Amino acid sequence: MDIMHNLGIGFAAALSFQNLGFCLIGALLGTLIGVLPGIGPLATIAMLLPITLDLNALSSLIMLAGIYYGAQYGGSTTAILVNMPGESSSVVTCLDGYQMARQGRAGSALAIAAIGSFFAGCVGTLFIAAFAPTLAAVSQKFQSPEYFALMLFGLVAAVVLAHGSVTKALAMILLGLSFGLVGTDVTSGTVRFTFGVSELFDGIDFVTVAMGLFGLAEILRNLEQKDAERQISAIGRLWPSRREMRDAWPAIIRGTFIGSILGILPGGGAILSSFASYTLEKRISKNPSSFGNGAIQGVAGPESANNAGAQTSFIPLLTLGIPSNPVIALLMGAMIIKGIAPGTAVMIKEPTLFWGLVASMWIGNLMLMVINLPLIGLWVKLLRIPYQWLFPAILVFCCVGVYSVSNSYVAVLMTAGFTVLGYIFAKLGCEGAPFLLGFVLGPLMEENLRRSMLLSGGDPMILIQRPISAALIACAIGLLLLTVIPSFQKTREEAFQE
Amino acid sequence: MLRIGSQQNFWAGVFFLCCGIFEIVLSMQYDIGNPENMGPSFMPVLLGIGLAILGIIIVANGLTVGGPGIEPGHWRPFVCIIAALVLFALLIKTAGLAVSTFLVVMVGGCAYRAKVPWLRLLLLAVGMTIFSVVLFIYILGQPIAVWGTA
Repeated sequence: MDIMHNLGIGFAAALSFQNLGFCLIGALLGTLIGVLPGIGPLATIAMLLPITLDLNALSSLIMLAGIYYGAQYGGSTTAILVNMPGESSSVVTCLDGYQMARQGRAGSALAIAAIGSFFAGCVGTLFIAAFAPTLAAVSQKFQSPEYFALMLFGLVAAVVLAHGSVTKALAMILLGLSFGLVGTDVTSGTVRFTFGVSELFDGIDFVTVAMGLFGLAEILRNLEQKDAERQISAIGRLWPSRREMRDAWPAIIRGTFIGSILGILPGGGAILSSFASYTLEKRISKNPSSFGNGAIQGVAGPESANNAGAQTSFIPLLTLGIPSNPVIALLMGAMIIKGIAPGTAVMIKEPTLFWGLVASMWIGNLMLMVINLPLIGLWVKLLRIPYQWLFPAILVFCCVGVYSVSNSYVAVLMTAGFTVLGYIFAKLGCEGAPFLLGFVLGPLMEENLRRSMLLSGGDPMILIQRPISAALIACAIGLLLLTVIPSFQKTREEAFQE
Repeated sequence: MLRIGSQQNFWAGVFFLCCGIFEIVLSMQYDIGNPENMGPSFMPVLLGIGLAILGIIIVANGLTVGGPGIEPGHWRPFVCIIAALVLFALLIKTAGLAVSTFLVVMVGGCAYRAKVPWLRLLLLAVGMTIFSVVLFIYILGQPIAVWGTA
């Protein structure tokens, strides 16, 4: 079978001693940072990005993927133990996970989250292996107009399906796209918007944007808030009882299914899927009142959905070269730094890289389950360190990290600049995520628009004369129109409440 | 006196509007080309126009529809963190990793909104300095000098 053959290549690459090591280090570091309250996966990856850049392409991606899963797992640990979600997708985990913890069932909740995530990870990996080649085959028909339309659709969907004001998010995308254009214009060779700073000729360093907007701005925001009283629950028994397992299994399977499907959609796949799963579990439960009071299904479903979504959200990146959410955009940025153009070409030209990454996702999930349950005591200790002593250390790592990427002090100054920008965004109630998506896609969109226009002799109608791109543009416009309809607005607001 | 419905939205709109105008003005110096052969400033001008339009919509929305105000900021975390970053940038080449790390922890550490426990902060700074020199220079082999110029 083709899938088996491909996965075989992948496992052969990912199981090398070296790559296993990087996967392990990534997962450990990801959990280590992700477990810190108030630091979500996005900030974690942004902070750890520099250390992966010295490696070869496959190892660096494997390590990043490990960091991603680790960060997500660390986030759920914090959500369950101290009721502090590091990111929006673990908000749902807080609802019942923390209640379970208060009833002395923290161990069960953590174990179920790990088991559910692992199961979801397995299914998600198979899903990618089965689905990606098909999608890649379709995308071979794509030319510039289709790619442009696809990116447009992706950006619009990311805005509409995420929370917050749509108009502001659209403006943030445009701003991100603009920042993405800084540097040398590939077609004409003109150097744009650099103000004579030679470090900007190749464009703004991606690491500085990520670190400033997400890593450091996040620290600033945490510092402005009052230190919440942190009550860390006792872990209790680590293994769920037989009854808990019986209750949790169906929820895990349903959650995995929802997550796998929703994860492919552009725009906050992980967030959307955990909310959807929680709603579904609550609706079909015989005992809906137990939700919010420590229902194990309320942890098992969303955690599985979350992880399955995280897994399948790689599909658009690996097949089409489109990041479907900010975390994936970070990974895409890392790929571009390593000289890989994400998209169909990766699978065909570098099968080892592609399948190696897919295989390492599975290995990463397995490692998380094996390592993290025994290490839980360590993570709890980490949670006890007061923030006051933690953030100066993080600050040092951020500084050295950014500096070491290109050994340039300008990069550190740029990071300071983006921290200020991130601070302004936060004060103005603008989300940084759409900015990042735009930033990564800026040069690609310009290039594809330029080629489309060349193809059509300057007629923008080309975008709606070709069936695939017309359909994508129609979807994008449809989604935008939806947000204007009052009833949809209301549902959207309700969906993102809490 | 003009009543502003949402300070936050109003100023966000102003911010985007200014960004858009700034982008268009900056683009003037480059060749715009034509639709068939888009010049280096074609896309930026389009984006700038888009930003300006969205900015105006957001301003209008901020004026008419009520919404959140701007949360008051705290100067201390902001100033300390940014100062720590800038200090690191300016000193890393000339003073080396040890001094830079030490200062990042000391200056950055003041960002915490409480009375600074100087002695403990000093201990943390010394500890972090030793740790980062060992980790980054001896273990990870980064080409950074411990003291002075590399």
